[in-house]
Amino acid sequence: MRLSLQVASVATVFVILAGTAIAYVLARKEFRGRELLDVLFTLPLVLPPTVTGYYLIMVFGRNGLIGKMIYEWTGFTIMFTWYAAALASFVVSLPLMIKTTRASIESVDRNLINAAYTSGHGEAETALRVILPLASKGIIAGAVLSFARAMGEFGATLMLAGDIPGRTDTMPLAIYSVASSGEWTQAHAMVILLTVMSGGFLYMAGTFSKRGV
Amino acid sequence: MGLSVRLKKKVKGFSLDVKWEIGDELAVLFGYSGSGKSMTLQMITGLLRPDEGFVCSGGKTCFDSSAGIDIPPQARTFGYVCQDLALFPHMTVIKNILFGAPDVPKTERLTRAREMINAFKLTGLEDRRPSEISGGQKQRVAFARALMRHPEALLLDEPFSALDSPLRSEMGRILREIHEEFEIPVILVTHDISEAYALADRIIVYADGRVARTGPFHELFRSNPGYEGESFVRRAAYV
Repeated sequence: MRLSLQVASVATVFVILAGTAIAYVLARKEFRGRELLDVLFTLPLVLPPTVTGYYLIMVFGRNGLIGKMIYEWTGFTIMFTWYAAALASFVVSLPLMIKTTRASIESVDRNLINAAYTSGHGEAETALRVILPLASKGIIAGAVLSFARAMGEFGATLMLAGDIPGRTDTMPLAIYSVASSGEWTQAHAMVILLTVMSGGFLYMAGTFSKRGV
Repeated sequence: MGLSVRLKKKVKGFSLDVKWEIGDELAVLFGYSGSGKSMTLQMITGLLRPDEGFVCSGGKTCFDSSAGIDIPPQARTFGYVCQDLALFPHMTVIKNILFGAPDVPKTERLTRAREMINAFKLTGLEDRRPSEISGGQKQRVAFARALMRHPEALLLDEPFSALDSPLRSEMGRILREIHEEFEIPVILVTHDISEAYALADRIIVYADGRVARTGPFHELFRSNPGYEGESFVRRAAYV
């Protein structure tokens, strides 16, 4: 449980930062390949998690595109560490953040943005003081959904981080382990806990997107 | 001082091609819906880029297609109030007003905001959100915010259209006072002929993306009762 919260929290912090920035660019900037980029970031939402995990190994594995360089320079590999679990959770929950936040930014009244410009505010200040505060409902809802998704991440995590007791066995992986070994009482307890938590997060996301904070 | 523009812009099914010049007077842009009035204001503020032309204000060039000059909207010092006023719903009245002068030092900004609060009779409403004040009060907040930077010109895109008749008259009076106080060009877009009559030093009549007529209101429509512009304006007033 503690590991799951740790992995999901770290993943969500990065999801909020990266997801908001990417969603802002996709919502506000017009450039060639914009929708292609959107498809690329959305893919983990529809791909089987094992495929996402496979790609992550290709990139961050010891012989991967980036992983190899990191290993040669530092002797460190992310494989089979809790960082890998956080990375997998980050990648699979990022699309939820981008989709929700992009829609929220696009719904900000154009006249309000124009009013900020004609009042003498540049792009950055308009983003920070007008666009993002007015899109905050969607941003918070996206963050909550992403956290819930990160808590429930299984397939990509198993591929990249494995199922090492005490190191990478987040709740979904632990449920798989105990159920595989027939420890049904423990499995029941964890399943109910995860279901209640996920339901709670969905309720929170719905509340934020309707009322804001 | 004054404002002179030459603007050309083609969009789907519409072509704007206008040229006019005003001094520090209150000018009314008048014409049918879709004749290019709002588009003109958006191009003056820099929110919309003309295909060709220039915008000169107080001797400074904000836009000149031939010279490659295109100052971004935030660097042009125009006060702009659009039809729906665009008050920031997440900010209080005082924060909305303070937001109108980002380049002014903080103490000076606070002093100006206090002056605006007093001048526009908004005392006691400083901490309210736009959703908690009346339509007339919202108008006054929008005007106060637009004037915070001490703009070179004030551009108003049908800001009174949502108000009832007594409030429109009141806002017209306030607009006159603003014009006398700040001595800057004021451009008001309106459909309302009585509003144009009550406020305009000069009227610029738009028709199909062109300037049909321009001149002082009385000169244009009163001294020449048979003048074709009058019937145009009268027809336009009933659209």
